[in-house]
Amino acid sequence: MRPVKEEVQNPAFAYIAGRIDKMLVPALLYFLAHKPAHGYELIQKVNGSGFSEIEADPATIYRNLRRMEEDGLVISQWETEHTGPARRAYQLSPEGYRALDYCVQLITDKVARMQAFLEQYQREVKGSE
Amino acid sequence: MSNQLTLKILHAGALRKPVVECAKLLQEARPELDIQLESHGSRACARQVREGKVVDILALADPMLFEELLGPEYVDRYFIFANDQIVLAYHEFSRGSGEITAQNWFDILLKDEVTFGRSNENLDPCGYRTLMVWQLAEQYYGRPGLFGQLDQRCRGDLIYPKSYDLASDVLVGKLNYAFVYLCVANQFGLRYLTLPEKINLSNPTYEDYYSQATVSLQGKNSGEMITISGAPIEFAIAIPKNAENPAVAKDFLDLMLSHRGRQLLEDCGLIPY
Repeated sequence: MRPVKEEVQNPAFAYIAGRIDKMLVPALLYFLAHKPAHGYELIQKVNGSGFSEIEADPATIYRNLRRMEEDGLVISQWETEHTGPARRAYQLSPEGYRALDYCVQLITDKVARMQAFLEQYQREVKGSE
Repeated sequence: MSNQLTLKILHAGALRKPVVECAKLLQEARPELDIQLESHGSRACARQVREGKVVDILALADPMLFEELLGPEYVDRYFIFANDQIVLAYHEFSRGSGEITAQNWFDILLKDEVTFGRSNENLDPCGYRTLMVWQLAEQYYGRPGLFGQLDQRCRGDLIYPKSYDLASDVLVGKLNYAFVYLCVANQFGLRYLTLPEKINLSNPTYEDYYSQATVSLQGKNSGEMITISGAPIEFAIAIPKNAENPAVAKDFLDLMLSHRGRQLLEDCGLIPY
């Protein structure tokens, strides 16, 4: 993995770090890394995945997508190539992929700390009973 | 001025404020335009277009109407641009409003002295969505017969042409409660009770659950009936194929879908896409 911490410049990264526990932004970035999607579909995927700590309502998801767009993490455009219904589709920008890498780094660090806690508990509390 | 360019907008009553605000913005940029606004329940709007009414912009409270009543003859592309939910709107003097909660609202509404309204399902999507909310509530709260009880109490004059009119009558105290969109409650500054997500038709996560509710409506042709299923509430906008001024209509559409337009929609209580 790239040395993400040295690359942190976009203020969005600080926003992500402050809310990493909720896991909403990592989940959105993750699903968009698979393929572009519209908000309706993302709401279903995020809430169906169990990745996010919260069951996100549409207002929360769309506000986050708008913020991610303003921060340059996603790009949106209306799907107008066919007749019938058109929806705004979101896709990850290169900055969005970097943000996803950053999330993975934060989660990895967090998991390592929690794992260390569990091991120490097993060894020093449960093991000494 | 005889050669003044006109933009005719026909829209769902629920979209009154955001459409007016976007029209004002366009008017500032294009002072020469004559912008004409007209609103009804969305099914009524769609029927008027089918019956020959010519408009440049058509903004409706249910994308399904474009498929069911207008496509592909009158509209071949429409933009689904916002989401909303059904709430129970009231004012501070509505009977029982001091004790109403998401767990007891139906008991309050069924009290003899309480009045509540809904819109007409054949004219306004808010009407059939309200009937769906009642059906889902019967199941969600485990109250067999609840739909029938609410339906029995909300008849005649308590059924309005569009949700905007309902909110207006709650505001002046003519009605105690009304089932309207959140954006309509916000536009009128009404108090409202948020209903559980599993019944308020707001969240795509519950798409399958919502689809259990069905309502029969007058179809496209006289005497024909159709059955529609519950779905998350969305709003859509289009330039009809017979628009007289499609270029100006596109300017308005682009504005509604722009960053500024999304902000306006959010300020009006909608969730813009």
